[in-house]
Amino acid sequence: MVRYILGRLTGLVGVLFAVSLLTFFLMHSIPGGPYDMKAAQMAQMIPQDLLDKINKLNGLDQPVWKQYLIFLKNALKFDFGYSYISSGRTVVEIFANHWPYSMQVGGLTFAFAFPIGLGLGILSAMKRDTLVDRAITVLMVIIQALPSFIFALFLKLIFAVQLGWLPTQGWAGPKTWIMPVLANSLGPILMLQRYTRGAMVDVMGSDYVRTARAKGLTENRVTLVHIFKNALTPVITIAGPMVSNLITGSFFVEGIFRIPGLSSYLGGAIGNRDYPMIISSTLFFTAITTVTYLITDLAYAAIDPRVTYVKAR
Amino acid sequence: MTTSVAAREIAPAKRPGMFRTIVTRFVRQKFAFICFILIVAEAVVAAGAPFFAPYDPLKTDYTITWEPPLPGHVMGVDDLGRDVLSRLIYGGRISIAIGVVSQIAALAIGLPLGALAGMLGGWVDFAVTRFIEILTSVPTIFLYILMMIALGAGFQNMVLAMAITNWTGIARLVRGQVLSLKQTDYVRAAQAMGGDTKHIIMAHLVRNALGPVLVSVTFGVPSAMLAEAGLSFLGLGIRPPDTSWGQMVGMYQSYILTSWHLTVFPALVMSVTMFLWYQFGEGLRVALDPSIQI
Repeated sequence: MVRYILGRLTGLVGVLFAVSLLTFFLMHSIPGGPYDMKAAQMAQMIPQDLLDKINKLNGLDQPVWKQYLIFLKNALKFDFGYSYISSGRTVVEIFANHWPYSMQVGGLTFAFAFPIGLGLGILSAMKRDTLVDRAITVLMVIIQALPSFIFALFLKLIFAVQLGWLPTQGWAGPKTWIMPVLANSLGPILMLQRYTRGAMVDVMGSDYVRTARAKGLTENRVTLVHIFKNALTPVITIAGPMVSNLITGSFFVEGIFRIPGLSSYLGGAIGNRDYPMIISSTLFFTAITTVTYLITDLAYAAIDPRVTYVKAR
Repeated sequence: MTTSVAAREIAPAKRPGMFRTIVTRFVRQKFAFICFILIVAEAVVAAGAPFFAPYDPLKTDYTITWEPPLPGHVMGVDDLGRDVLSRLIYGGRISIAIGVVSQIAALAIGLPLGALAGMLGGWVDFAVTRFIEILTSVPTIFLYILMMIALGAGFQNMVLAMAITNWTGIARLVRGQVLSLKQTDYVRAAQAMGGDTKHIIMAHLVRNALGPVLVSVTFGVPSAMLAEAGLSFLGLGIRPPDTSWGQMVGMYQSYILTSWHLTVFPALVMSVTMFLWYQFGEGLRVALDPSIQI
């Protein structure tokens, strides 16, 4: 088992290396430099000798392959450099200060969406082909066609503007949490409901469920112990990537509600050619995604005894 | 003479072809069929925009800026006095085209790569699957943004960016299908009879894997529309004076406090269109799944 995990972590290093290579050369192939946008905003050219000095300071006068090697060397020491745009702040600092917001939004969204999605899925599987199931399906179909940013705007229009019950933006206290979390949780609820229902219906038709019923177990026991537990595996398959997606923040929800999470920095970073920020966040996201996949795979093995990562001798 | 009579007697009763069966099965699902007709109608209106739109989408009228729905402008006018309905009809051209064209492009990359990887195995399979793994480990939205900035905004670049990010799903699906179909008796028989790889891929594997792929492509269309909207919303998509539904929502949303009609109508049209496509895809899935009785 330890060997398996170590193997996977080595794989992660390989993936990170490949992604860093890809991103580094892709971002340097984009025309324009880090200070073009600022210069355009202030409607004045930066003197060439000053620009040369700044570029030299940031190592941008070197050939790209050399810059990449320098980046790699520093990255191994966990030094990702200074952000070009948020002057005076290191990339690590920005992540430390702003990731918690994204994580909170994502965490709360998951905490809200998971029980609801799961509950709706179980309910529609238990009441299959009845009015309840149909109603839930219709609700899900509507959710599917409702992009989160549109839903967020509608929420804002109704609850903040028309009714004035909730603050229009910010992230300070439960009252400001309601709309972002609600807007963010549509997608997760939809996915969880679909997969839970599908998995439950699959398991319901199996022989051991019939056996359990034949043994005279109560319906609740059959549902919870025999059906639900076995239906959990496919649900976990999607819950893992979902969590990694959620905790890395949502451009739209954070943008619409002006939450100081990571996305505003990332959006700005790419537009401003903030190279250290771009490469660091790509690697950060990749690492989080890959680690969640690993945890998901390990969770399978914990739940499903048929899954094993240790080769039989 | 006698032989032809005999041949006629032996000839099997004519059965409807595969395509016909699928169409019949699809049409039988009334709701999905209605959605399909509405999709076609919408596409016709968008394609014939100059004919259907009541106004020129770029014509400004400074006497009626910001007005909510009024006679002559059923969806109101925007900050420059442009007719919202006309802009929606013209914007639909781009939104629908991006959804459809990007999926066709993704299919053109994903289908051959997935089929080759599944069929040939070995280093081809290794290279393709690793490449897919690396591409998918970067968050999609991030990849989009990176590519849109690298390529520059605009219709063609957006289609390209989506094709590059979306082909992986199709390739993976095709590869899985091919891997399982490869084990079936009829493919083995074809191999044993000396059919070459190209023939087996084209005649047996692709044809039999096409059902799920078609469904996945159909579901991909509304997702691509959503992605287009998201990118245009972030200001990385369609550039003015061209317009798309997502761009309208994104551009107008800052005025939601004062002029609701500017955001609500594009948002509604987009949601309804996505709904129609998802229902169409679902109908197609049912029609192509022989285990479901209809």
